[in-house]
Formats: sequence, structure tokens, C-alpha cells
Amino acid sequence: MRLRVKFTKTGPMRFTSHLDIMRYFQKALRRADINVSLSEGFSPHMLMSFALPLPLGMSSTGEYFDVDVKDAPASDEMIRRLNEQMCEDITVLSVIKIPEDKANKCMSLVTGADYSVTLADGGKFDEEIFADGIQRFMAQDKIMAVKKTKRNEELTDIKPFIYSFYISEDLKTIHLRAGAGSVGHLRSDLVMNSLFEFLGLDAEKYELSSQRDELLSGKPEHFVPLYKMGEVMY
Amino acid sequence: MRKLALPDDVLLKVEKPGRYTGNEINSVMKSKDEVDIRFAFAFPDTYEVGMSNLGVQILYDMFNSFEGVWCERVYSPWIDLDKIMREKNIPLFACESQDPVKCFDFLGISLQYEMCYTNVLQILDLSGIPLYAKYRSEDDPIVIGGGSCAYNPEPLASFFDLFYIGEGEISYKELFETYREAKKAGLSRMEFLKKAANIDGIYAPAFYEPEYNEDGTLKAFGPVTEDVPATVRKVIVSDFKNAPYPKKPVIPYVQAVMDRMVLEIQRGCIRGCRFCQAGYIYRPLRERSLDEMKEMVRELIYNTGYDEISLNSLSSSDYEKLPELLDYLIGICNEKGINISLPSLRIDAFSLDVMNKIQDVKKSSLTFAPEAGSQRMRDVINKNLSEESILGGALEAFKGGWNKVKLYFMLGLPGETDEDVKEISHLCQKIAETYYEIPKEERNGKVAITASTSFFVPKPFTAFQWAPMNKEDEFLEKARMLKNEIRSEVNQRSMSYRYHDAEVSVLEGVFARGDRKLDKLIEAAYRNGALFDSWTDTFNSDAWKKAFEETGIDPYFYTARERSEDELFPWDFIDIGVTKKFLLKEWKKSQEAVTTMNCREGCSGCGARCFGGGICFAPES
Repeated sequence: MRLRVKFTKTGPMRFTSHLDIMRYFQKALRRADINVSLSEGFSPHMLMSFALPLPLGMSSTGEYFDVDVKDAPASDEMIRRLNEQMCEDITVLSVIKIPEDKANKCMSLVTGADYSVTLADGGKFDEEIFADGIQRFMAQDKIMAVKKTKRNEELTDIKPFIYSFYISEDLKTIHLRAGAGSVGHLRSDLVMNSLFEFLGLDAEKYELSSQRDELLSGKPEHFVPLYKMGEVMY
Repeated sequence: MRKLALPDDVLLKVEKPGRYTGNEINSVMKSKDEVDIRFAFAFPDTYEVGMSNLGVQILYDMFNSFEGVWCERVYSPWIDLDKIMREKNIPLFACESQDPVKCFDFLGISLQYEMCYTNVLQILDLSGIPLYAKYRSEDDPIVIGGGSCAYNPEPLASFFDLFYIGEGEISYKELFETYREAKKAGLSRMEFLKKAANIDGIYAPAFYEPEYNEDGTLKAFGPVTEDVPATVRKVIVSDFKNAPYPKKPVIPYVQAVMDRMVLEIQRGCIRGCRFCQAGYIYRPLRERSLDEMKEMVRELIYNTGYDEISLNSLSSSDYEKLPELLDYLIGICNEKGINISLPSLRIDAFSLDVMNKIQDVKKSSLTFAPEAGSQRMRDVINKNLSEESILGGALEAFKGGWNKVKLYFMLGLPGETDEDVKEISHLCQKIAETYYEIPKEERNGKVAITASTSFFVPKPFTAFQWAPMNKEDEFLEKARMLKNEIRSEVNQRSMSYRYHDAEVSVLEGVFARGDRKLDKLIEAAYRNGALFDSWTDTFNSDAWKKAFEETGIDPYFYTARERSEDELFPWDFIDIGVTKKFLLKEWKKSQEAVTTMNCREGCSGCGARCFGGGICFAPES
């Protein structure tokens, strides 16, 4: 059977790389004595699939991996056992059972992500500049930005992949919902930098901390968070 | 939440920032207000190398089990962070609390190989601690060195307040008690160091001075004050059967060089290979009890979650209950999907059978370490390995389906002739022929033989401590000769040959048998930019060349010179149990290519019996 695990990654763990997080969970699953299935062949390994890698330095409350197991206890028990093995900056939030078909791998499911951007000192964004500024930013016909890929740099219109972008009522958090995954992936820092440039502000002067809140699947108008794509085990 | 010593923008700029953020599984957090001794345990190399060191894990676990002591870890920042820390004046910090090293009571530095010496200075320098011990104030941490290089501490003597000679399990408790009492009594740094110098295994260089002859050799060495001992005897765990062991080792996030559980099955070695320092300084052989280890394995699996376990010892095949241990391991590991790796095994029918069991169908390459090509040379070094058993082992392996063989040799061994060098090539040829003796239909494709040579570096406390070491050009000439010989063999296309760098070997040779005069050389090289000297990419040859010029130190005084039998050595004041008289006898026997039996065959009276334990007291077999 296949399980999907949702976890947080915050604090100093932000500086632990994607590959190291994979190894961390392999060890944690063994310590928690979860009956994980191993691949056949010369060097048996756990069958795990991680959703979209998190940029180094960013914290998250919505990270995911899928893992094949031979059997598993109830979701609550599973969460408890895993959390006994976690370090202080990683917490397992949910474990669900998901269908085992190929289309359901969390790696390929992700089409969107929610981010929240705050000031590192926990203060408020300037109302005059930002509340109105973000509206004007989004009112543009096109938002041209330089998208860097592994191979080249390209000036593209990123607006179609910004699904929502607004500032909270208490002015402390800017919320962004953007395209993610293999198609239309948009980095949150690219959006923020475009905003600062549009507003004529020096991004260097603002110490921002950004967090990924959730990973989403489906079409933008019917996004479903990954943890809702299966069933809780009782 | 812990506050990190490095700001986010710095962490995002450097390679593998996870090296510096601590908080690993099984790392120990304590409240600094509840401890009265803070110990920063530094490994002068990268995090990945340091995290793989078993000694650090053992002592970290033991120190933190002491009431009132908090031991934290420190590693050499890699060159990218090193540069930023200097530019921004960020002091070196410990992984756990992220507090500056300078505010600790002790800075312990693990000395595992000579080529880490410039990194020792880096750690002191970045911590803001004066490099030279004599310039340190009452507020600076007590800097203590330990590990295998502490057996000749003299090249580093100026930079350390104390050295610990031997196995850490023994004297640290007393050292910490002495420190507490000294603090309570308001004693000065020097008064404490003098008290420490009287603890078993502790050497305080400030109270000892060398005197030199005109030719630069040592004339006399001893205490300059009455109340410290003239010789320092190593301390070891005599009752090793049930010695403490870290059941919860720290598990790094960043992948360490040794990303696996380690089971230390024994300490010391019965073999007495004449070039091998570990074989002498860790005498006598002490085995852990089988029952204790079964328990340890279960706990390690449960506490770490690693998917691989490795046996640690100088010669695993010599462990008496190896078959029983492996049976147990194979059982529990198959059940849990854990791999077993078996380094330092002799290749024979038994070990091949075991490898067949644990490796299933995957046949990786087999490693032999004959060390020398000719039988005469193997007798000189007391390797006690015959050509017959090498070829026999190879034949067994080939029949078992292996077709890749790695062979390790040394070039530049004492008394080596051109013929001895060429014999390395001939041995490879014979192994190839052994392969082709097997009927074609039973062979597994072509055979691949890789011969690697390192350059022999004479070490203190070995039978070869009197031996001259080859110069760089002699080494390279021998390597060329061997290469040509291999190229002329019938089966040369099945063979490949590689050799280590000669320049680093010569430097290693300088420090291995160095004296106190070398402090200036290490400092000069460090000031010239030498750092991470054991890494090929970062080794800075020019920095060292310039350092030799600036200090006028002749490397060949330390390496190429043949020492007379009565020469006083800088490390002679240390007593490892094995006597100089015994080593000299071994040196003479080596010149006649006469071998010495191993400790299990019978006692040769090396002197290690004085520790009251281990193989020296085993019932006669």
C-alpha cells in the first residue's frame, strides 16, 4: 500500500538539502519501525517519491513524500511514531493512504503552491506602498520577468501563473498562490522581485522570509491540497 | 528555537550549509547554566570527514554522560566559509549551542593524520585563540590534542596546552575533576596545567624542553620543573570486553563519508607489521565480547536507522568469534534489509563464503593488501603473507565469480631493490594467469587487476622509525619503473596502475618524525595560505615550498636521513608499552628479512603486557 506523508521543515532545517531530507526520512522510517517495502534487485531501496523540492533556505509547512509500505498502523499512530523520531524543526502533520496508480505520484501531481512572505522582524508592510501596490501590480496586462532555467534565461509573461497575490488585513503577510511543478513553475522570489522592481523599491533593504504553505494539485480553479487526495486510516 | 551563528545570507552562499547548523539526531543539547565544564571537540577537517570518526563519537557520548559537562562538536569551515568568516569577523562556533569556541573551558582537537596540521591553526585562529600556547590568557580555553598523531606531539607542541596520549576513555574524568578543583581554588592556568601533567596519559609541553646537538638532532629532552613526570605512559582500556560504546551516535543530515553504523569489534592488532604504527601503538589486542556486540547491534539499528553496518578493526579476520558474529549479523540484517560491509578481511575460503552470503549476486571488486611484491620484501615488513596464499585466495575468488581485484602496495620500503619493485608487476601477472587457468566457460568475462601504490612513510613507534625515507624523485622513478614493467607483462591489458602523490607523502614524512622546531614551518605554511592539505584540490604546494624557504628547514633532515641506533627521538619520552629495545630488535630482524610470530602464535615480549589485559593474558592456545 502507498502512503502520503505531509510534514513541515522550518528553522535551521531550512538549510538541509532535498537529498539530505530524503536520507533523513529513510532513517526515520526505520527508527520508527515502519514496515516499508523495498525494491527488488541488487541494491534494495525504499520506494519513495518526494514532491517538488523546496528551495534551500525556505521554510515550509506543506512538504510531502509518498512511500510504499507492506502494512501500516492507523494514521494517528503513524504520525505519533514518526514524530517521536523527528528533530525539532520537522513535524509530521498527516499520513493518508493513497491509490497506487502511477498518475498519483506526488512528484507529478503538483501544479500549484501557496506561499506566504513576511518581514523577517515580524513587522508590518507599509500599507500605502503595498496594499495599493500589489493591486496595481496585478492590474497590469502582462508581467514580464526573466525566468531562469537550467539551460537559459527567458523574458516571459509570468502573470498567467500568478493565481492570487494579496496582503493580509494585519499587513504582516503577503500571500501568493502560483504555478508549480513541471509546467508553469514560478519561484516566489521571482514574483517578489518583480513586485519590488515595479514599485521602484530596493529589494535588498527588505529582509524577507518566505515560506511555502501548501502544495496543490489539479486545475487552478479546482486546486486540491495534496493531503486531501487519499483517505485517513483508522 | 536555536539561534544560528551564521546569518541566512551567509548560509545561502556557502556549499552544504547543513554542515554548520547542528541539531542532528542524537546530538546533545544541555543548558549552559546547568553545566560547569564546556568542551568544544574539534575535528580539523570537513564536517563529512569528522562526522565519520568513531573516536569522536565515543568521546562525545562519554563526555555528555558526565554530570556537569557539555561536549559540543566543531569542524573546520570549508574554504568558502573560512573566507567569509575572516572578512566579516565571525568567530568559530560549536554546532550544538552555536556559541563561540572561545567561551568554552576546553578545546579538544582530534589529530588523526599529519596533513591536518594547518587546519589545527585555522581552528585556533578563527576561534580568536592565540596560536602559540605561551601567549594564551586565563580566559582562553585549555587546548588539548589527542588521537594517533599525539603519539609524536612535538611538531605541534607550541600550539597546545595539553596532549592526551592514549585512549580517551581513561583519564578525562580525572582531568575534568582537576579542572573543577583548580577553578574552585582560584589556581592560575599554569598551576592547573601542572596538576594536569601529573594525570596518567597527559603531557603538558610547557614543562618540557628539548636540547639539540649541533647537527640538529636531539641531545636531551625532559622536564624543566621537578614536579612533572619524565615519561608519559599511554593509557588504554584494559578491560575492553564490556567497554562503553555510543549506543546513540550522532546522525548527520549532510551525508558523511561513512554513512553507516560502525561496530568496533576489537582494538589493537596481533600482526606486528613493521611499517604499521597502529599495529604498535594500540597494542595489546583486546576483543569485545560477542554477547555485548549482539546487544549493541540491535540498539544501533533501532537508534540510528542506518541501512548499512560496518565492522571496525585493524584486522577483522583475526577476531576469534568472527564466524559466530557474522552469522548473527547476517540473520538480523537480512530481516531488516541492512547491508553488511566487511573491510580489512583476509581473502580466504571463509571470507569468500561470507561475502557470497551477504552480497547475493552482486560481485564488487575484491581488495588485497600484500603491501610488497616480493616475498623477501613481505618478510622484511613482517607481513606474514605468502605468494601461495595470495594466489590461492585469488583463485578461490575467481572461481566464486569475482573478476575485479584491487591490490595495494607500498613503494620505498626499507632495503627495497629495483627487483623488489618489479616483483609487484610480476605478482599482478601471476594473478592474471591464475584467472586464465580457470576453464573459459567458468570465467566471468575478462579479469581486471588494479594495482595502487602509496609511498612509504616511516612512522614513530614502529620498527622502521630508524629508516630513511625516499626522496620525491626516487619515489617517482620507482613508480615509473613499475609502470614500465607492468606495460611489458603478457596480460598488461588486464592491469591498471595508479600511484599516490609524492609531495604530500614527503610532507607527511617530515611531520611524522618531526620535532618542536617544526612549529615555525606549520605557522609559515598556514600564513602562506596552506589549508586542507590532505585534499588534492586544495593542497597548496607553493605555500609549503615558500614556508621551507622562509624557515630554512630542510625536509630531508627529517625524512631521508638514516637515524643511528642510539639516536634520541623527540617521541622517546612517551611510553607506549612496546619498548624501544623491542622495536630495534625488529628493525635488525627486518634487515635480515627474518619474520616475527604474531601475538596469538606466541609472545615476543614487546612490552605491552604491562597494561595487564588483552591477548597478553589469553590462555595459551
